[in-house]
Amino acid sequence: MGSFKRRTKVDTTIPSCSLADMAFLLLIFFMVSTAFKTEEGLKIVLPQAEMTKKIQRRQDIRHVWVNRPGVISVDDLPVSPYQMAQFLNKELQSNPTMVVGLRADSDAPYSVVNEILENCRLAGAYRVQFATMKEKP
Amino acid sequence: MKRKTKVANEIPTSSMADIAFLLLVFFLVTTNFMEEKGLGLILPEPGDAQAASQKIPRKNMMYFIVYGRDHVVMKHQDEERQMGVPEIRGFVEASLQRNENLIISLKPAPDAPYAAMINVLDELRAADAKRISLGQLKPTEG
Repeated sequence: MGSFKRRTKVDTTIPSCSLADMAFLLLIFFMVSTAFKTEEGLKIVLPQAEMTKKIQRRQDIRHVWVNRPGVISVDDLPVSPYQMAQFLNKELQSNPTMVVGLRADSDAPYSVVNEILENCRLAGAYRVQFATMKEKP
Repeated sequence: MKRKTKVANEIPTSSMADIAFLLLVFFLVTTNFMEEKGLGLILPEPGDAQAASQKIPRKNMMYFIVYGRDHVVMKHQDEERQMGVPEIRGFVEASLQRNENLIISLKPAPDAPYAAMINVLDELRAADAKRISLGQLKPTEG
């Protein structure tokens, strides 16, 4: 009667052949879920400021680009300050927590920036962030 | 002449995971997200007649007129002098200590470069000035 010995041997190793699949799955997941910058924007050099702070809510930011000669661009379209105000007003209606991210060139004339700020006020977009960089360009 | 040793006809898959993880780590490390960094500002609402008509005593106003990167003029009461950007911080800090109701008005000239205004605004932020007004220099001023 003493034949209750196990006949089949239990495999003691963890199967590692699916590890590669898991790693690739992760790789593909991160590649797909990473949202890259979709806007082309204008070619600018941001001004440098020591008190530069990180802005928390990235999703709420709508960029307004201003290049050196003072061309304003929103959503990769050159616009007039009035058109910009209309765009911001429309965006504000769908997202009340919107923040205007002003990305202007260091050498852009202030008169253009002033016009943008005035039009932001008229559009009801009171929260503005001047995009700057901390380190020297 | 028969071959004696058997050649394994399989691709070794045990190191595949290492390669995949290496790629994963490489992409994780090299991806740099576009960071949103800058100076925040909350604009006043337009047509705020009450605030506009409010009289501010002259001694509570300090003007910084920005003509260019190295051309900033400070005006306060009867004092008027040119100021270098690095000395603004100390000056504003000292002024705020003397008069905590001080309102600082930043007035860049229309043709002043944007960076010049940012540099002064940066200094005001560093001096912990809370009440800042920002408006373009009118042709009649300055």
